[in-house]
Amino acid sequence: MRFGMLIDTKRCFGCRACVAACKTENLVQKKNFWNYVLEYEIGEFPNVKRIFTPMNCMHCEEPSCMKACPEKAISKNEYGIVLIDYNKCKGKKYCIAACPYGVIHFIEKEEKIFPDGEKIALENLEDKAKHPLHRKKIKTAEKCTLCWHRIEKALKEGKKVGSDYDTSPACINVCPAQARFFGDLDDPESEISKIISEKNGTQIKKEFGTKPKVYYIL
Amino acid sequence: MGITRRKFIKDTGILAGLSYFSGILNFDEIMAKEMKGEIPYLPKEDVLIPSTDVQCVNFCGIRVRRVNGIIRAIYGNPESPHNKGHLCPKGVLGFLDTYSPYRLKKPLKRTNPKKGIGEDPKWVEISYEEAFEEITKRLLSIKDSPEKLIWQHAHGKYLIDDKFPKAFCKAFGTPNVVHRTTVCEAARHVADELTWGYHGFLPDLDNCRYFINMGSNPMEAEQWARWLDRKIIENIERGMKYVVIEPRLSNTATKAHKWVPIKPGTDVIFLLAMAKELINNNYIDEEFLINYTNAPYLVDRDGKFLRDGNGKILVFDKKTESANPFEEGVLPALFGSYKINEKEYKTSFQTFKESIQEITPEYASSICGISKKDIIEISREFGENAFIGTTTRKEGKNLRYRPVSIHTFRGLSHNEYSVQTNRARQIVMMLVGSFDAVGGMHLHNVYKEPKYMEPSKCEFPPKRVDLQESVYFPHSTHNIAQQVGLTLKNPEEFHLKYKPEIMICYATNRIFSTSNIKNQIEGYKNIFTVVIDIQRTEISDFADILLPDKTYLESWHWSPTRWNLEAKHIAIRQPIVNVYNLQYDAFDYLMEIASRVGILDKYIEEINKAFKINLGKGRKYTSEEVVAEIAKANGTDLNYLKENGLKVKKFTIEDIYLKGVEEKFKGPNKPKMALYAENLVLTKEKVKETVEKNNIKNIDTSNIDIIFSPIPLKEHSLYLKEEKGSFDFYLITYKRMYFNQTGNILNPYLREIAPDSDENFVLMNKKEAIARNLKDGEYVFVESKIGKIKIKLKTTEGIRPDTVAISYHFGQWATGLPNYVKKGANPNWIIELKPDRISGMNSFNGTKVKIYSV
Amino acid sequence: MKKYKRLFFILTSLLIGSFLFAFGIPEIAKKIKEGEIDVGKEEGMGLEQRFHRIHNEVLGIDCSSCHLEKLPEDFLYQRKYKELPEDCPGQVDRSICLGCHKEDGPAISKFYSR
Repeated sequence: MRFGMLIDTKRCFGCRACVAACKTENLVQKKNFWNYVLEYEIGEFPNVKRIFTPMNCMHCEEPSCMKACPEKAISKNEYGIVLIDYNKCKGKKYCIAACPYGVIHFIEKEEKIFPDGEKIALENLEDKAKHPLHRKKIKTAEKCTLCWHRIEKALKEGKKVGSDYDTSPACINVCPAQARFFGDLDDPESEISKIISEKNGTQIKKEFGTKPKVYYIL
Repeated sequence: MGITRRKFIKDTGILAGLSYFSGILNFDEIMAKEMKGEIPYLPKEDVLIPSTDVQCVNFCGIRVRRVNGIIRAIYGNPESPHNKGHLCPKGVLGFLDTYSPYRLKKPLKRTNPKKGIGEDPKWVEISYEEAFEEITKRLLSIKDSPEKLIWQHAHGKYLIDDKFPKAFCKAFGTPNVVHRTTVCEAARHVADELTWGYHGFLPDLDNCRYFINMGSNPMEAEQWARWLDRKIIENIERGMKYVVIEPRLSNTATKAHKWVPIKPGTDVIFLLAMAKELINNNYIDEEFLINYTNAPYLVDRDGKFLRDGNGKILVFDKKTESANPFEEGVLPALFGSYKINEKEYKTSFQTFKESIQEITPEYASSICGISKKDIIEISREFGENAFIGTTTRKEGKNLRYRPVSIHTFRGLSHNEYSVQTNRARQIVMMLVGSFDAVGGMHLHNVYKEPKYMEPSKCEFPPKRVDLQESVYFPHSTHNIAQQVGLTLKNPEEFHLKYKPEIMICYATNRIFSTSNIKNQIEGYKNIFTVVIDIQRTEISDFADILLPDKTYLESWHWSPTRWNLEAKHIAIRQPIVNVYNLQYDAFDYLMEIASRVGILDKYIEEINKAFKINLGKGRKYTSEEVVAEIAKANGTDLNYLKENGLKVKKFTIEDIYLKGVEEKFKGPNKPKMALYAENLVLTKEKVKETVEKNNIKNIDTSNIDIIFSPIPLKEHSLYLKEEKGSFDFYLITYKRMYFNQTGNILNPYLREIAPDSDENFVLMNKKEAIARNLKDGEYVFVESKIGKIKIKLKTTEGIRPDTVAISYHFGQWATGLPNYVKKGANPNWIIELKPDRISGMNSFNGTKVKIYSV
Repeated sequence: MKKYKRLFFILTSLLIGSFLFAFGIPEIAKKIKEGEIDVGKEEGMGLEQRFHRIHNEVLGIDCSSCHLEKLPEDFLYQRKYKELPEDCPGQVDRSICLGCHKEDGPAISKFYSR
């Protein structure tokens, strides 16, 4: 089983629900984004289009971040998911320099959700009530985990990963455009594999040779 | 797949937490190896509670995840037939507003009597008791003239069902309940009501072949977003052709096959040109026009229908070659002019047809600023795809098949003649018989209120402070939000027979969201004002007492919901947390105040009537108790809704295709859909008569033949004759995905969610900016005849060169708001107020501006 | 136009790569690894730390060779909208790194394996 994602940019209309869902699900540091939507225009008036490209960690088969990390804090698990160990990370940012997609963010300092106000309850949630991947540390790198905590829970409970809202990454089923798909790339019968082959899904920046597992319909 | 609350608790919660230690599950195998050293996830509580979102007017089903008593996240509820689990960023992040440190936590009393922009009210905290005493004292002082009380709400309508404030005001005795629809789509509703006796429609997108959208923006923010957007995307892939006609390339337009950047305010000309093209090329559904609409009715010289001695409207019967009422056996003529008793009478259709003769594609192109080719092509494709005369079978029933429709929301509703513009759109759809046909435009609740199709009574003197349905705005059935401030400034000017003394504003930021702010503010200085809200707003700076409200995640409510072509549903909101331990929400305030001013029983009686329930008199109720009663009256019970959040009822084929125009309008002896709005002719007469009789000075009647024309005219377009001068840009406004009106503006995550979501800007065509030596990102002044604002310039290829656009949401100035929200500018400072005279609709898109560097 | 620009950068980076290779970059890399060339022990992105000392001081790559004033609009790099640290002269187009750090490239650490 190798989990991957497919993003249909022909469907995406740039609402950023996926950005929001990721942000809260993963308690992503203010100003950081595990998932972000790039937006640009092509063409000239009146023949113009706006293009939206959501980007999160590509969970590369050959992750350059993993190779670059001097602390061996980045690993790829048996499901192909690339994770950062916050305990090992020493904040040297080599992963950030090495990632061609720019999806790794650094937690420079504590940033309150409400900049001039008090911390809110969510910011004071005790460690036990947060998945280990959500226990952030200052001066470490953070990035998309493909919502590993959800996958892990589904596996643990014997549920089919990706079969519903709660066994898929938080950005998938929230999408009003239904532009995101998640599933097992090794299974040719999975919905994601089928759509990749039907709609000619492709990875971006293949020239880097990192073999990303996030596919796009462009 | 949905998970009920109970099931979720069983699945996760503490039990699942403990299983980490039970050793039954081989957790180590699947846990990331590097994380082994960590203590596992072991919350005291992890539950999903179903509820309903109210960040905007679409009421998505949500599941709120609460961990250790704290809202951890909000997920969509896949069981909702509206949003199917999908949410927008507001829906996902709405809970941050509940946790905002800028919430109101205690009742506050003003100590600075001076009211004005930037004037600090110098709030002091008071007890609830003191607040109630003050409000009660004031209300009792006007008990003999209760109309002196005004209740205003905007989003408050949906936070607690507006049936409650309406019941309260009825019990108290005031007609003054004012909602905000004239900042949204009131003109669209009024055009519907005049034409088919109610409002509300949705395109049958699953069966549609050719879909035109004129300025509705469901992919950013609009009514029926999360249904319309999903359906559009799905059906583009199915093969539906999708055309968007609007001056700015919205995110909704960027998904279209064709974007037609029309000049703002000229849509009526485009639509009439389209009508002419359809008629010329014989793309007309004669069968529909004759049997469902008043197109065959004969029109008299005075613009009214020809009637017989019994007052029955006459058609020309081709069978008997004479004028007869449309009864069994009569064959009404659609076209032509007929001699009856020596006089010539044209059919309504003929009248319309002749009225648009000069609106050729060439002419429309010169006014609308789009190519002749586009106008001809769109008309032809629309006509071709309508498959006029065909039927299709669904579940064994033969149904009319007309898979084309034209949708709109703000696009056609925000100018001086927006009812007429919307009527033009309806007429185009009538021509091809799109209404209630498979793939066409589905109308909801056809002819539910026949009185809407009658002429206005043109009430005078006005009873209501907003002048609703008075001689000033005869068909303004959806209140007139921006009028309250103007009337308050000088009630005598509008012949109001009383001077309002108390105003309660619930979850509205009226002065901020309606045009020509400066003009409205004066009125708000002169009235004792109570504001109920969750945080400070621009209107709360004008309040005398400020009451903290609970948020949608803290209280019980019977939620409004959105129907669609597949199903409708009922839904509740339930309290998940109470972050600042607040005692009251707006529902409770009403109950408490009703009790203190001695109208509790009357209030309960009105609630009972409104919801068809039976609460006993003599005591106060909690909102949970009332929700339980309403649930019962709706054939379910509270426990079911607590666990599921909502209950769905699927529509049948009959519900969607056979209960509307087929049942209400089709055939002889039935009322008819108004191609020709005779009601407006009669209203016009009444306006004229009332103005003359009462010598009303501030109603201009010079233009009333145009304003109340029974058919849309080219004169309903803006900018027919261009004034020369320095105001050389058309200003339009729009909404963005990230904020609902001015709500969510404090939400720090929504402000950083996109590179341009932290403030607004004036959007200008790239080449135009270069030609004017203006740079992307620089500050400019945008100036109209009534003022100027300073705002950042943003350039884009996605807007007409002669048009600029400014979004709402920004430019806050209220005291007590943190600095991070004081960014951008509010276009309402410079938008001239030229409301639609039929509906009272605010004219957001009808101001010309000039732009220059700071 | 944009495409040409991109191509130009890629070519430049390849040029830098081959240029450095000609001057014996694997040797320099080896010397750095073995401590013969002193670039300090501190790993990190600071100008005084190894990353920039290697690329800038030792290899003599100019800031503007990697840091671009502005990435093209359609350039897919997620963090491009983020504010850069004050002393950072601009975003880096990673295809420049690729010139050296590819599987068959001249640098010793191969971050981008083909």
